[in-house]
Amino acid sequence: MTATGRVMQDAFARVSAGQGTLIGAARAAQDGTMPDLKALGLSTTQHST
Amino acid sequence: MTATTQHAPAAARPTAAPASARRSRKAARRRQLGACGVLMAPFFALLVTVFLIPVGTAVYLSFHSDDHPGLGFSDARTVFVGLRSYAAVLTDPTFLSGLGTVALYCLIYLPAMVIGSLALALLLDSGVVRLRATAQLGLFLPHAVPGIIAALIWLYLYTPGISPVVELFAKADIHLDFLGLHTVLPSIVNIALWSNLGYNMVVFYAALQAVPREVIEASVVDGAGPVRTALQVKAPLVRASIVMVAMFTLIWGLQLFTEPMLLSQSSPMISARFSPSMYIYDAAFTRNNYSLAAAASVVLLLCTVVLSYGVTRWTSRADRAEEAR
Amino acid sequence: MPGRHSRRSVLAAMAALPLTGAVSACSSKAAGGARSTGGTTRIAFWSALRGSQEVVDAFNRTHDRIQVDFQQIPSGGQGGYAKLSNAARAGNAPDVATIEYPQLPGFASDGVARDITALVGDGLRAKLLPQALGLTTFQDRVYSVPLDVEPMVMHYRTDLFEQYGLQVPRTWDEFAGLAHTVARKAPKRRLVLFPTDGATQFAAYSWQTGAHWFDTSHGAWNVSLADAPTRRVASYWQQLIDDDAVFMNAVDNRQSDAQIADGLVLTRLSGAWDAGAQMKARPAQQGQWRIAPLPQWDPARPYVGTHGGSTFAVTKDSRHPEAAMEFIEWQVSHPDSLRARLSSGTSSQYPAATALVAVGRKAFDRSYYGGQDIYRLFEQEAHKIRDGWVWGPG
Repeated sequence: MTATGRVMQDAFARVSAGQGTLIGAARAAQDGTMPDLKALGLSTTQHST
Repeated sequence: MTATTQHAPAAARPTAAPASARRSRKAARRRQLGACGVLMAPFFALLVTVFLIPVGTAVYLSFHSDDHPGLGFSDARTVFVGLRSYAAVLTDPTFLSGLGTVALYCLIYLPAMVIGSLALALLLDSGVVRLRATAQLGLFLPHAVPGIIAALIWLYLYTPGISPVVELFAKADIHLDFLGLHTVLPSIVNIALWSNLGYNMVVFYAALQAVPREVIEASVVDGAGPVRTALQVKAPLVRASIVMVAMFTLIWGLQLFTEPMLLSQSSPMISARFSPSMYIYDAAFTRNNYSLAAAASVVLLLCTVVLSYGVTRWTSRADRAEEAR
Repeated sequence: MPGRHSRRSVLAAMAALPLTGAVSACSSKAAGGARSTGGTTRIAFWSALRGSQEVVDAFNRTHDRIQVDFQQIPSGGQGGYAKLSNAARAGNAPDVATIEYPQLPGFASDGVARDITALVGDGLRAKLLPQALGLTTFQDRVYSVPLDVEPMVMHYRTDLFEQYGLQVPRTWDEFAGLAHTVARKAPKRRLVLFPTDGATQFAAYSWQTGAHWFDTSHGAWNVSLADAPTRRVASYWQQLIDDDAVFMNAVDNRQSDAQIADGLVLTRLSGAWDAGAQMKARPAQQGQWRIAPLPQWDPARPYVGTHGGSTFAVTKDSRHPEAAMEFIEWQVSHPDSLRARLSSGTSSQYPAATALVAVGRKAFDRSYYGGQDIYRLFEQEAHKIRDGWVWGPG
């Protein structure tokens, strides 16, 4: 969860500077987490909106 | 020498002399090669231990990874995973944005560095500056400051609340934000320029000393002013140095790590994966995925190799075009 | 010949290097692992939690078959987890490690935390809040034992609420209205901070609303960070941010400390543990704060998520898992353990062992919160913790 949280927090920082939205940050966290999980060989599915 | 002196006895004793001459030539050659080998051995030893073995290990690691099949709660094994880590790296938006950031950084930094240091060297060489030695020392001194210290000094100068510069401008009602979303990259470029301008200036200055004085005198006689002399006579003659400086700056720039790593403590706009090197560090030491880190390192290495090769090809083609003219 | 002599000494030196490496690895393994000397089992315990030394001392005084060697380590985010990972990789992780809820799935799948389903007896299971144990159980296997469970609550400045004539909000609608009111009445103040370094806070909001960011019920990790409940939470807070009705900066830095110390921010949405942290950090604000339940979307169906909380895991490297488990069980469920921890200073830790809540309530000094019985509030809130949340393995 640490890595996911970090990507999300980086995106939150950008939101505070006026770039992007909170839900964009959540999506960015998901897009940044999926490769990590796949790299570990975990079976993953995702639901993206 | 040996061949000519042996020629006379060879004529006198035609059968035995050529064979012994060949043997002694072979021995001399072997001694020469042996001497070469011994003198070059340290280089090759270092090349193997500091470059080839780590690169080989990285490539090996990038193809093998801890595998957590299913939900991952059973035992993990280290297996050959083929290109899985590479796929993960190349589809990771955080890595790709890091590549973009470092590309933008090089786009700003490279021209500024080359043009800036060349201009300074030309200025010093033209004799316009008094106290040339002092000026050179002063410009070179920042390079003597280790990279981390330089980044810390500039961090102090950038951080609002403790920076005297920011305070001064705030009194004049100008609110400078050096660590904001769009200003953080130029701020990093500034630190790198401050550190390295003097070094590259010295390189160019040394190259300019090799320009034959007759060429300069000829151009002066032809009526070229100092600016014309500098731009159209001196600069083209140091093109080899310009290419070298550009290439080294490019390779160094692609590995951007120290400055953003230190500034990230003060600026939330610098993410943990701001540059590819930071992504690799994060993958290895925060996410504990050495395979991912190795794959990202290999990708970065390939990008560096391709870009360097591109720069070399482009300049040699430009050279050949010039010669053809 | 000089060449031959130096080559032999070079070879000797090279042969010595791996041996010295092996020797140092052996000795460090002995230091990090457990030793059994004539009946007394020694186990190693790492933690960053305050009061751990007092707890360990209390355990060592009252037990003679098991002795605990405690090592204070930096908190997880400051390098504690990296230290644990590296030690596990080297094979000398401590017997008992402290892992917070969000990091547990990662350590479990890395193999650092071992499967202790067999070691957790029914007695211990019965003592723990079911929601807390549910957060440390994956695929019906238990990977760590909860120490505390921290429902998210609303800490608010009662004196400022009185000053501006504000009502304590019970729903998120009321909270949003209040935020606009505060921004209007007190332009320099805001009702709350939205932390930019607060993925766990955002997770707690989404958890309360019914999000399932990670789901393992179908045999694979289903990742869904932007599901409908999360979108609801995100648009709610986005509206407040766009209207400049809340602060938005990092919570773990000087700016936020100044905001709280200067009374610029009127509420803090954080776990129950923050009540004690506040007491320790700002003793001068005694009497100015109270605690209320977190606002709800629907008061008829109240839920909360947790923010913070730690668990204890037995590591794979441990050579005395039964002894380690005995220590963990004592630390988690024995009244002396909680008393020792609270004796070290200010702590409002809400224990996962339901029987210890009374001990915590009695030991806690209520004067800071104007006599409010915050443990009763925590108990109510703890029962509202929503089921089904899983932290991610990343």
